[in-house]
Amino acid sequence: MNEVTTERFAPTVWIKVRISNGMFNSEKAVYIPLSSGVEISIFADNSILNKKGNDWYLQVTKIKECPDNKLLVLLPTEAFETSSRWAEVNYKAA
Amino acid sequence: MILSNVDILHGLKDGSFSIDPFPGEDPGKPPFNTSSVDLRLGEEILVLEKIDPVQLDLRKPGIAHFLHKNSKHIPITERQPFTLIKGDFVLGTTLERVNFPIHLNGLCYSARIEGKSSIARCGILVHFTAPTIHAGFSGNITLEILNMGALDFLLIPGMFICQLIIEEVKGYPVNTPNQFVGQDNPAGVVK
Repeated sequence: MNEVTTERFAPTVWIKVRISNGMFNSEKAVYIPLSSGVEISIFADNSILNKKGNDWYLQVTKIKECPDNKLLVLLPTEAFETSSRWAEVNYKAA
Repeated sequence: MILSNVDILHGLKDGSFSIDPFPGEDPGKPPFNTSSVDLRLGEEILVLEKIDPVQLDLRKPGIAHFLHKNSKHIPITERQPFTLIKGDFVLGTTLERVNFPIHLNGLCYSARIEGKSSIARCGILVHFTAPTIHAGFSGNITLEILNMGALDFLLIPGMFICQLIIEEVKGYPVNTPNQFVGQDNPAGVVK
């Protein structure tokens, strides 16, 4: 997970996700595993998705580091399952 | 506070937010209005297929995959537009991509999609109940298009379909800001 912040903007990180085709060509369906074990899904623009090897990563806004290697992030859009942009995910420091 | 056409152009030029393709240099000409900028319809229409008996249950995982699997993807062109039959509901997108990054210091911006009076007069809704483009969003804007009028309506790519109203977000838009609010180091992260 790499921070890609710039001086002006809030720090962003890339979190590991699963993907499948989106409804529109410009997007993909993205499945995000939460630290609770639940998986949530959103549609995200191709520009904020990145493939590294066989793995896909979603760019999200980093809000807060939590105990036990958890991270509170702000998703680019609401998840269907939670109707929320807030998500707590597991992470490993870069 | 809603941004004027001049302030929208200023925000685009100083990188506070972006609209791609760039709408133009003259705020006194279309697609600018006095306090909004018009956006165009993209080249895809999504029709959610009616499958019985199915009830959407958002508590179940994989809703995004379900919606993809059960929707029909229809490319449209100027010569082959989409006929939106009265009473029908489809999804479209804006041709333009927008980006409203969250700023570390200073102002943030969010936006709202609104209809255009010319299209509204024909009974067409281009969004309903979810017009907000929050700070932190990046991408094309999905439009929920519904024909409530008496006549069928042609959806033509490139038509001015909606307007984007851009607003300042007062204060910092996260509720746990101690991680980076008010910091002026380049990374903005507590060491």
